[in-house]
Amino acid sequence: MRIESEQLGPQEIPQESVIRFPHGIVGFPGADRFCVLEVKPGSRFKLLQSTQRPDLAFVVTDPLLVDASYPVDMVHRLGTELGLDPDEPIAVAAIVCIPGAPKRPSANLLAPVAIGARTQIGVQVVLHDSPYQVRHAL
Amino acid sequence: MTPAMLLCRSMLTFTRKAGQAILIGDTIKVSIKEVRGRHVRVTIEAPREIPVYRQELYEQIAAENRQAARAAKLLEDLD
Repeated sequence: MRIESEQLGPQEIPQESVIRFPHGIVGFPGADRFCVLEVKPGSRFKLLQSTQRPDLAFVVTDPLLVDASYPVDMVHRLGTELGLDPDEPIAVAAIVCIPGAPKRPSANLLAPVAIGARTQIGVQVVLHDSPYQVRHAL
Repeated sequence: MTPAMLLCRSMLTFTRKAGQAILIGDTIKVSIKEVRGRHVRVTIEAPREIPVYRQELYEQIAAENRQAARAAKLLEDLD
């Protein structure tokens, strides 16, 4: 299927790569269909692009690159409460905020996005009672 | 303002003691576990399709998501 990305232009993606967010993304309750787009080869950043709104996208990165001891298992467990399958592999992505120079970009490790590889369901979970915050410097 | 507030059609205020609970519909149970000074410990049991947030965290995450969505246009600043 063909989608539009304001950042990356028109994109052709397989239908099965569309990720359904049954709860939306926090603050964007209506946006429930996304896909992950490569930004450039070898980049540690990817784009979580709405397949419904070309102007809605989030830069994401692997939280383990920010914190090697990031609790991926806990993210999986919390994601399971919101609809992921406990037995499927998941991908975890931290949403990146780029405030523009001179401020440095940061990653949201408090509320990561978990994506089920088999169900193609995405959820943004909250690590309540953890030391993580919405802004960890990259 | 949270979506729940936007959809709010009625509001009730209760007095409850520790050990008592409130039922919301057939599927949500709010139990008062402990009251100590100005702190109340509450347990929420809800179906998995209803995420439960602390309000201040929900608002902080929503604000950060909105800023991240605006800032995604600066993608070329990253390597």
